[in-house]
Formats: sequence, structure tokens, C-alpha cells
Amino acid sequence: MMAENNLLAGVAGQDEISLLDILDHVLNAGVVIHGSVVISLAGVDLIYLGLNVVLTSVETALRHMHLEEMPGGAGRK
Amino acid sequence: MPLLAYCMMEEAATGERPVAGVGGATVEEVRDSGLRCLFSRFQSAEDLSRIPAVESALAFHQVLQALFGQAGLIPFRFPTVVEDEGALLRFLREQAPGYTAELARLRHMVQMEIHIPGNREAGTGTLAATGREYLEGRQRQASELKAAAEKLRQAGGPSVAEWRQRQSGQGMRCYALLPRDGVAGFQQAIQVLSRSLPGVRLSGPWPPAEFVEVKNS
Repeated sequence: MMAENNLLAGVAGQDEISLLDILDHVLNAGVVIHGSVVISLAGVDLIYLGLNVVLTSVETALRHMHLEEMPGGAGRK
Repeated sequence: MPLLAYCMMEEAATGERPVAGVGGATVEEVRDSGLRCLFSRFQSAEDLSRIPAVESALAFHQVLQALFGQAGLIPFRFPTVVEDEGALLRFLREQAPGYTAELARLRHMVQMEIHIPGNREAGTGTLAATGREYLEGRQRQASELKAAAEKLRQAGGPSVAEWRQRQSGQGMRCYALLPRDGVAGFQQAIQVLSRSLPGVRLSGPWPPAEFVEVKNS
């Protein structure tokens, strides 16, 4: 079994990279099912056209999430 | 009742699924057409959207990691929500040939990712006095990124089964596909080389999503 602590082996700046890498992966990597239901995250709509989910707002969502995570950051509550 | 889909695995894949997933919802599974698919049910899509975004994404990631530690998988992009179990089954039955083949091909493989940062000034043209200088700066940056990526690819050695790279506004992203037992050697080789490549960062092992080649029909 693969050790969980193997997951992130950042060469530089460990913790922040870990969170951003994880968010980047779950939001950008993987299969999309055509016809999925659209939802919003933290007030950021994940827009869809017709039956195809188009995650055009992912980069915006990622930036938004990052702001929320920053201590004393400007993220929305 | 909408379902949040986590990932697909081979139907015969063993390994325990996590008890709870996003929002504490039970992680369930369905096996059909040679695929094992894991998901959680929600009363409505709005219920899911009320969970804090980072918390949801991290819980999703934790489910994938728990499973990926035991067997190969292909993740769904977060948040992939389907209307009900019937919709999920239709997807699995329609797409089974492609995904079962890819799961078999990638069964023992993982994805490592390297990010090579670009020179921000060259990328935005901050220092360029003319359009020509700007374009030359962009061209120079692209060449430097490609050269760095090539060094990293070579450093990865023969355990790298496939390599992909993609230039973005922030630099270059490189993806290496390698067997699980090749991770430690790969990490060591990249970390040694990265001392001469400032800002390079390595992450993984991840599920090999970048190398899945199935077109949804």
C-alpha cells in the first residue's frame, strides 16, 4: 500500500503548495459526465451549456478558494 | 436524488472504501459493466453546494487517496454530480469499454507532476519596450521552459513510461507516468536536478488522470 505521506513531495514551499496542488487536481483532473447537474461552490457558479458541463470558472474558483484559506485573507465568509 | 461521483475502478478491484466522504455523506458503490464506481448521495445539489468549498474539495481528495492507496482508479472531476443512480449506470454502461481498458492499462501506474515556473516579467512583457522585445521575451521563455522540461524528462530515467508537458501562463506543467514502485527513484532524481532549477516543484503520486484516453460518446 502506498504511504499517504508520499502524496506530496514538493521541492519548494511545502504546505501552501500541497493545498493548491490538491485543489488544482480535484478541480481540473478527471472525467466529466455529460449531463451532470450544475452546482455552485462558494458562490462561484460552475457554468454549463446544454448538457455538457463546462468548468470555465475553475481558475476563478481556485483563486477564490486560495483567498479564503489565507489567514486574514480577503476571502468571503 | 443527486449523486456526487468520486471515481471509477476495475470491478474486481479490492480494497475498502472510506466510510464517509464529502460532507460526511456515506460513500457507496455500484458495480456494473466491469466497473466499480464510488459516489455519495445528497438530498439536493444545493445541499452539496452549502458545504464550504475547500472542505468539500479536500474531503473528495481524501476519498480518492484512500482508494488510490489500494488500487488504480480514474477520478471524476470535482464536483461531478449526476441526477440519480440511473444516470450514473447509463454512463457506466455506455463508457465501460473505454474505461475498463484504460483502468487495466494504468492499473499499476501513477502520475507525478512537475511545475516549472515561468519568468513573470518575460511572460507579461513588463520589461519590454516594444512589441518585438515582448515577443522575443516570450519566445525565449518558451525555449527555456522546454529545455528545463527536457532535462527533467531525461532525469526521470527509464521508469517513465509516458511524458506529457503543457505550457501555461504560469510556466510549464510536466506529467510523468510511471509504475508505483518507481516513485521513490523518480522523486530522488528530480529533487537532485531541481537544485539547479529554482522554483521547480514536484507533486504526486496522483491517479494518472492526465494519461486517460477515452472520449465520452
